[in-house]
Amino acid sequence: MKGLLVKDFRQIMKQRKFLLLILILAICLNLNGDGSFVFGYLTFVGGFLVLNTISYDEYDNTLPFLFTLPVERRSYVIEKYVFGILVCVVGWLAGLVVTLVQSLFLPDMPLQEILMSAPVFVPIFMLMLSVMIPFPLIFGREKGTIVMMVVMGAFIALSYWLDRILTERGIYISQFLDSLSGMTLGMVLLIAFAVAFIVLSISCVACLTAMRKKEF
Amino acid sequence: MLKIDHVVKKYGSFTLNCDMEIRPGCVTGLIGKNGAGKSTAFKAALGLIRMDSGTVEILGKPIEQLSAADRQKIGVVLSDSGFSTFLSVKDIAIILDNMYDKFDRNVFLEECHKSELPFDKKIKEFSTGMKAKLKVLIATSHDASLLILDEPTVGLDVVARDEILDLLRGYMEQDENRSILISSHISSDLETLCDDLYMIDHGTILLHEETDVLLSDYALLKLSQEQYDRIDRQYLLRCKDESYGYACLTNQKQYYAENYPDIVMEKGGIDDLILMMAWSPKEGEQL
Repeated sequence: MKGLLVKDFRQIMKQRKFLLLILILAICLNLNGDGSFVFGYLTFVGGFLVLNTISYDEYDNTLPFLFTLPVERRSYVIEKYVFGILVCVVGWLAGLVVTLVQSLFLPDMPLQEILMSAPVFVPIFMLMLSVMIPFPLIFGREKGTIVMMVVMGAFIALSYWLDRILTERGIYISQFLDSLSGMTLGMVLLIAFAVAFIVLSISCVACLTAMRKKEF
Repeated sequence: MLKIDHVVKKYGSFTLNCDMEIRPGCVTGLIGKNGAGKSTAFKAALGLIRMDSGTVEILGKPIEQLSAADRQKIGVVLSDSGFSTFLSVKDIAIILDNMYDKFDRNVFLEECHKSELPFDKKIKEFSTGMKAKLKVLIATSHDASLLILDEPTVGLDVVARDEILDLLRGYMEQDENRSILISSHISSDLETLCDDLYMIDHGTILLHEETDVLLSDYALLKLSQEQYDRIDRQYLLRCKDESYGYACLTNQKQYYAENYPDIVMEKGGIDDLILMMAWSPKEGEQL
């Protein structure tokens, strides 16, 4: 797995000028003092970097060759998730550094509030990874985008239908969400991390199963 | 080293039906025309496709049970796949260093330098010959016991091909127990490198022969109708209608040379073998 992580890291470093531009853009857009933006933006960019590494593997038909190296299919899938989380942490830490440095120059910035809410971007990003990784990995980048759109459409339709059924039976999702507001931030974060971890695990298992059956 | 035993894989109307064995210390060639099933056989040998039936053993282990550690002992070149072309030689050296226990970064970079491969240029900017050399250098860089090379010389000029064949000869000279399975369209490459040859057509192995035997005992007989009618045809493997009569492939050159001194005989090369063995007779033609 170490070799794969090094490979993906070297590949995204080929885009270092673009990454620097993203960082400068994040700093500029954060100048209004709303520090939470930079956390969300940089972790979101991280998600696309994972997709880029999958695209690189697909672009030159690299995948069959990778599986002739000392790389098991299982390791390849797990590495993409590990790499995604690492990029997420790096993006989040970059957001932290940008916010701390900016707070020195912007005394009105609500630093404590920003830092308290910032961790919530990590589980959000993990959920995002759970959806973004499987489609290109299982179906390929091009086909995966179409399948993802179809699945997302079906998911939205199912949510709408479920909401209507529950409302008809006197169960309101908004009431459930309101009840969360009574919880402490720590509790909300704990639940968010637990949910994100479970969804990420399901996503990873689905990819492992598909990759085991994949032919090249 | 590698044993492909009754492997069957169906793709629509194409069926791979393959038996092969690569012995320690041998260079084995796989020949056949385009679409004959060479790459499918390689993919089956490497576990890249699921087989409908049959088994593949590499280094004494079934392919399904091959661990990452076992794969360290195998070096592979695939004709249509390799490292991302956005990487450079320097990147690849670092990646391989983190993948293989026996990879020596300095030796690899030195070999790349000898082959005039630039370290910092992206692979996509390399010429076809440079890309091919890099693939072979990667496969031979980590002290592998077995090389599986699918068309490593495809699209190369004679100089680049010769350099790659020298690399492979050098690899074999370092350890007498090493083996290579190689496919190529260039018959002269295989004639000078391989100890034995398999010929595949329509997914089926048609022939397995030692290269020396093939070059010494096989011949192409050019027969008139009258000669064709009177000769003993039991040692003719394939006969094809030609404007002058018949072109016939035999594996008993000496027999025909001694008993029919008047017939025209050409030394059997791999190209003749492919042409004759892969030739399918139309209605009314000879087999």
